[in-house]
Amino acid sequence: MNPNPPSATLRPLVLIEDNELDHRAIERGLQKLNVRNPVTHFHAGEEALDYIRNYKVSADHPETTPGLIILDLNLPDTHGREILAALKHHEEMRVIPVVVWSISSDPADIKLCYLDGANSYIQKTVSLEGTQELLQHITTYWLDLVSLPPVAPADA
Amino acid sequence: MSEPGQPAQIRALDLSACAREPIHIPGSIQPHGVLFLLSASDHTVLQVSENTAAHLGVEPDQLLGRSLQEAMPGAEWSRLEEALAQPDPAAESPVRVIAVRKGARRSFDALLHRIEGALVLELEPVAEQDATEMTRFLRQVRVAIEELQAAETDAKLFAACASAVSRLTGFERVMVYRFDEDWNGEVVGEQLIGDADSYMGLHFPASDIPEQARALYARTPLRIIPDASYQPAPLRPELNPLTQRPLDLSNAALRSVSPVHLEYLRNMGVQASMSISLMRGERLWGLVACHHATARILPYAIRTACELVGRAMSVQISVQEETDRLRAQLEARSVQTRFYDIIAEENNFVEALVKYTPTLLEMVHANGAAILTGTRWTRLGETPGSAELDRILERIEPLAEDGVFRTDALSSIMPEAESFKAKASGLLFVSLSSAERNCILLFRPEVTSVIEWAGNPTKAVEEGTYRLHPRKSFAAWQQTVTGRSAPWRTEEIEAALELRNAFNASILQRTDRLLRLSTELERKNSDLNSFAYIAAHDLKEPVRGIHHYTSFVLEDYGQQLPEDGRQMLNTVQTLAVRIEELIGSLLHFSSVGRIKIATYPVPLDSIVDEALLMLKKRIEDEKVEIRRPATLPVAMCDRALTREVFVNLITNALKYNDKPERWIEIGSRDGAAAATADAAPAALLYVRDNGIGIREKHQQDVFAMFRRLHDRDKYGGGTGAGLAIVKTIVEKHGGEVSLESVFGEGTTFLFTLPQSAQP
Repeated sequence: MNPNPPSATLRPLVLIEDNELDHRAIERGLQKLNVRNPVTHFHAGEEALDYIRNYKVSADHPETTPGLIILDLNLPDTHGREILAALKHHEEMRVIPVVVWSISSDPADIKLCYLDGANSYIQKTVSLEGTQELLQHITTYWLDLVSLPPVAPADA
Repeated sequence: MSEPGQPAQIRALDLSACAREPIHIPGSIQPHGVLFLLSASDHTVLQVSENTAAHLGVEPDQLLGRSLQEAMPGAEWSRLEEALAQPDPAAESPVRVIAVRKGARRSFDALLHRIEGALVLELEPVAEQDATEMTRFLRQVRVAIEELQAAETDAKLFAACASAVSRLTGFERVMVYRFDEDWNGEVVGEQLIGDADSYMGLHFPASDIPEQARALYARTPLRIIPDASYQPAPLRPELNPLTQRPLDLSNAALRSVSPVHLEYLRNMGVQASMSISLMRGERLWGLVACHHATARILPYAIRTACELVGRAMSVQISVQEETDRLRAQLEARSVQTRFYDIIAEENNFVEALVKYTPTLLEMVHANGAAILTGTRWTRLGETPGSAELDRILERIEPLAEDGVFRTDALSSIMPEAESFKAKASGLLFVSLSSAERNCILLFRPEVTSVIEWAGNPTKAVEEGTYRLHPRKSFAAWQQTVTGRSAPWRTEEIEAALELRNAFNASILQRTDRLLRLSTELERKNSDLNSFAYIAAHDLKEPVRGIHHYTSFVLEDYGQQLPEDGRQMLNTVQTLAVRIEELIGSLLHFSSVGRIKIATYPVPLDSIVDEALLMLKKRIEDEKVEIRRPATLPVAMCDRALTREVFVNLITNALKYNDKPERWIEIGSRDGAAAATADAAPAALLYVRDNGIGIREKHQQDVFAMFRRLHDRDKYGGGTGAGLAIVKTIVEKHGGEVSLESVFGEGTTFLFTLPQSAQP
């Protein structure tokens, strides 16, 4: 079975980002790119951590398992790397690709994120056109090009 | 013969003569007793002294090959038999034996010991002693031990010892005789009876008690010669029949002594003598030497009492010396501790030594010190001059063992030291580190002293017609000793050795301090790095907001704005991008400034290749000719950073050119070594263009951060960080940047890099 069929069962995108600006930019961008996957927003780190801690793959609707997580590193209440660690230590969520989305160009930040299991590290750009371009690359790559890990149990 | 004050030559003579005499196998005994060698199994007589008839009324031939009972049936042997049956018969000595001679009972002390697989039995006649007399000896010993223990000073200890032995023995002259390091002796304690001459304070040369005699003294606690005029009683047969060699009489109380020694005693007017060994651990410390003008027999019981006093004295000497040593050590330690505190506070070891002169000199009781660091002498107190110090070091360094050398007579090692003996007769040399030439010389002044010798020590042994004779005169002979300092004590040498530890510790401490500083610096650097990134990101965020929101406005409401308004919003966006670029450049510039460079020998042509590859598209687009006239040298440099230098300079050259035919030349020039005065030869490199050039008044400014000479939009933009980064990178390599330019004709940027030793 195609894990990411073109219709009906589009896997949700999880966006962990406190910045109102990025919400707008990403929403606009996805709209312009015609990406129809549902987007789950978390505006604060604690909120996201709660979600991760309590997360279970739905037995009835495994297709509701997120397909991609976009994580901002600079959150006001929790450091993004803490959330990254929580994700990568979660029994079921660890297979979901995480794209770290950050303004930091500090090589130390970049290295640590990869060490913690980030699948991509992307630096935010100043211009909206840049953001749009990055978004296009991200969605093309992660939602169209790659095969995402299957969510249904192997024997189901 | 030898000159005064050179005991070494005396020893040389004694080694050639007396020292060779095999005193442990004289083949005869003193005749005041008899000696038997008995077989271990059945106790038959194997060897016997020839004087048996005088003591026992039996001829030697009647004894040989028979048991004692057989030969002398009338005697009481039972206790002796018991003792002989013991595994260690020596421990049973003495055993009382009663022999009958011409009908009269005579008592003997029987002394036993095993040797060469047989038993030696010595019989010494004794007067019948009653029990009260034994008790008296014991009491005397007890009193003697108490006196020894109560002695507060060395002098009192020696006097108490001499006095105790005198009381026990009645010898006219009882002396405590102490060896020095070279085995010369000195009388340090004395007890006289009657009008005997005093030997107190007299010195005796080492040859008086030759080496093999000292070895014997170390083995046996007591020797006695009751009559120096005795006729020795030879053993019959001459050789031990079991070994066919002369019997070893080392442990025999009756052993006959060297004729030279007897002559020596007679020359001193001594008829009876006794000596008790005083030991300091395993080493013979000295003797209690007893003299009597007439023959004197001492029963075994008194000798045993004297032996006990000798042992108690040995213990006391050890205790006293140990106490002295500990006290001196403690004193040295307390000075050391103060000294170390000072060193710890000072950065410079030598400075610490110099600054606190009294303490260093105090510590080793020296009057002067010279510290060599590299080739520089630092002198304190009374020392010879620098040139003399060099010569001293040259002379004594090869003599040092484990980096230490000492002498209390420097002029005996190097005659020229005679000229500065007042300052430096004593020398203690301590090397501080093996790796470098660091050492300390400590000096002590000459102490003129007068030594009283018992007879002229240079004539200790006189050559006679047939054999060596000991000297005949013991009249005090004075010798003035010059060119000598007080000797260096063990604790003082140890303290000086501690200097080496202190020196190394101070180096370690300094290294440690540097390490800590550099760690701290690294940490601060790293803090600064993250600070720069954080600051940059915090600045970028709002700029990004400005740009994005402006875009939102343009997207959502652009149509409602007049053209003029849209233009203005576009300018806001351009400015936001510019701010972001500036922040990026600043961040990069600051990180380049803190980055650690990793240099390797790199052929610069390969770096230029890479730089040109990175700029390939732009070079092609702008149709610029790249000229590389010659091969570039190999430089010691950081590859990535050096590439950035070339990229920045070439980019610069690409930008600022308005000529129709553009070219950039990359090359190197000779004569760079002249540019940098010191250090390794440098490669002088240049990037030259036929561009717009730089006015002379601006030439100093171009390397400043964010310095732009032109309007931003002219010549392709840029943040103005490129040349500042070039300067920083080159300077990090220890190089320099400069430029030559004719306005309107072109610019040459020059920089130096350390040249690699490799071709």
